[in-house]
Amino acid sequence: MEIIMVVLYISAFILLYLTITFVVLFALKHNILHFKPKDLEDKDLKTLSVVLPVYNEGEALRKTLDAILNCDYPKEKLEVLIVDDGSKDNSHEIAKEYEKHGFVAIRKEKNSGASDSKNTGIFRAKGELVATLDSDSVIEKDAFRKLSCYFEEEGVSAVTAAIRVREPKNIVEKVQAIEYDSILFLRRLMMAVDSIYVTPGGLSMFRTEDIRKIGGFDINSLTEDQEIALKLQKAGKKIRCALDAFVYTSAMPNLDMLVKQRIRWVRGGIWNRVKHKDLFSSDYGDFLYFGMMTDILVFIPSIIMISSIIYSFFKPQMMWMERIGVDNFVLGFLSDPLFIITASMVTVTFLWLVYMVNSIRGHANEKKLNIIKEFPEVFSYLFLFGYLWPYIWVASLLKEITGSKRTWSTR
Amino acid sequence: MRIWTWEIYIITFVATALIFFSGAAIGFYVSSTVSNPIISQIDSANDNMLNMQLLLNSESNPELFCSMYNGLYPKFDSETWAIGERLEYLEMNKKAFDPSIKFKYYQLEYRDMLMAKKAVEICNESIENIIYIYSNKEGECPKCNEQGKELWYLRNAYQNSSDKIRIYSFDGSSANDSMIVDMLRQAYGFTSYPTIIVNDRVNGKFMTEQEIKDQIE
Repeated sequence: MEIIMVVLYISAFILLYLTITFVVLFALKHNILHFKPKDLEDKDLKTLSVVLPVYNEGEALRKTLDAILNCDYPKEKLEVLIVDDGSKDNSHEIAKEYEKHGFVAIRKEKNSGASDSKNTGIFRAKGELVATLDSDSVIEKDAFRKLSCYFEEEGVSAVTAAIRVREPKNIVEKVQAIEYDSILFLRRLMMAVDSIYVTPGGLSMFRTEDIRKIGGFDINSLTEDQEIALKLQKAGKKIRCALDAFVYTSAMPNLDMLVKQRIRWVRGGIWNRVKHKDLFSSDYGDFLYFGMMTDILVFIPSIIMISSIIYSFFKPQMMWMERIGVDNFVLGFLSDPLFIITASMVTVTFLWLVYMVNSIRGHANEKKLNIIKEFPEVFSYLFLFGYLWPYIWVASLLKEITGSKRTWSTR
Repeated sequence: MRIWTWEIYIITFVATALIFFSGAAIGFYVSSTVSNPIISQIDSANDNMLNMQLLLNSESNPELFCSMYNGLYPKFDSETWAIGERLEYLEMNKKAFDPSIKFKYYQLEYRDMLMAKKAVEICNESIENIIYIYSNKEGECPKCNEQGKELWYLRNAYQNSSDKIRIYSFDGSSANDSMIVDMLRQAYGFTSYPTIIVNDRVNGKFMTEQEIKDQIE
């Protein structure tokens, strides 16, 4: 057998192994999906400070602020800090309008990034808990209340919300909606092995004392929401994931912006791992495998498999169909063991994806996935979006190696 | 925290191996079911060819040979071509393809070629003889896929005319493994791929359907 075939078989095995890992984790820990902390009465809720970093958000900011205003968290226990990061538009003026509702509008003259703005709020916060959210996040009424209940468990320092895509319209946004739901499901599963490695900027809640102790957000990281989770893991703190505290965020509206966003995520991930390389140790238990290693293990075999699939695709397969007939063509495909293995992997992933998305939609009281109607987005997610990732990894690695400028912008 | 014990790693490994090897087994099973009919097709075509050869060797009745050859020509032509197409596809796309089947096919092709030459000689038949030498070695023949297509078009064009054409394909890179290919290499001295030999004239380059037609004429 040629060396390339050996490499392809090994890559397929690793990818299949990682897919099965999560299926086994689910088989062992499926009860985690039904876990719910005890609801608290108003008097038992902790005081909460909400920190909202804002930059050039304009009128869209009102939606986020109105949602916070309408939340069911007791007003006397809620503090809202809107930190304007030197916006050039009227964002700060809009924030000031909400001061009449008790919100605090803070203005930074110079733009210094979201992390710095969050830190400004965190170190001024009076609450026992602090929630950070993006300026385009729209929370459900009970999201803060549901998140805060998780802090009754000892050692919990952070809780992530159920972040979903708000009103996806085009195919790119719809694919991201499926992705967000599956990520949410997996994050909850990772909770079972204490391996959550990101507290998303969309909405996460922290114990104020703990987040201050670790110095708040790193202003140099492109993905500060991951960096802070790594710091908490290192400090031996617990991170939980709420499946019913919903927050809706905007997805990237086109492929170009999506790729830029993902390159930023991956670059941030590489930088964070290098910074916290001491986490690559068995001292951190399952976090080493699930939190630090799985996406690195996926990367190389994915590149190999996907390049091989694309190579085969560009070979003039259709011409062969004409030359030898459809029956022989299909038989030829089926006679390739690698095709059968890849097909098994895609089948497992497909069923797994449908289950994950339906589970999250069930929690959000939404209709189940309609495979026929939503075929374009499911297909794009499985076959096109997945293909993008390895190349995003390569682009990100190259940018990190060549020292390309680190930027938050997706425009 | 450690939930993921070595036992779970091993269970996951076993589950993965089960799916993986089941997939491989299904693939190999289908592969053999694809190969077996080809082998019997080659055997059956070889038998027919052998019978014709016996008839020819007896030399008692050239007219009988010529009329039988003429009658069987469409069958020989379509059978050999169809087997060749399937083999070429399987070989190019499925790296795990058994090369011994290919060598068996080369014997058939070579017999067919000799028979066609005899038919031209004895029966005054007009048959254009094309030998296509390709290579499946990575990077050795980037244009071979394209060349295969051009020959396919050429054959299709002749199917609709009264002229006869025979196209024989051989993997030049297998010269060390196949005596027939080695013989062809010594006879025609090909060094590059693709090589198209049109009625014994050697062209060590890619040729379009039209270029081959022009050379035939």
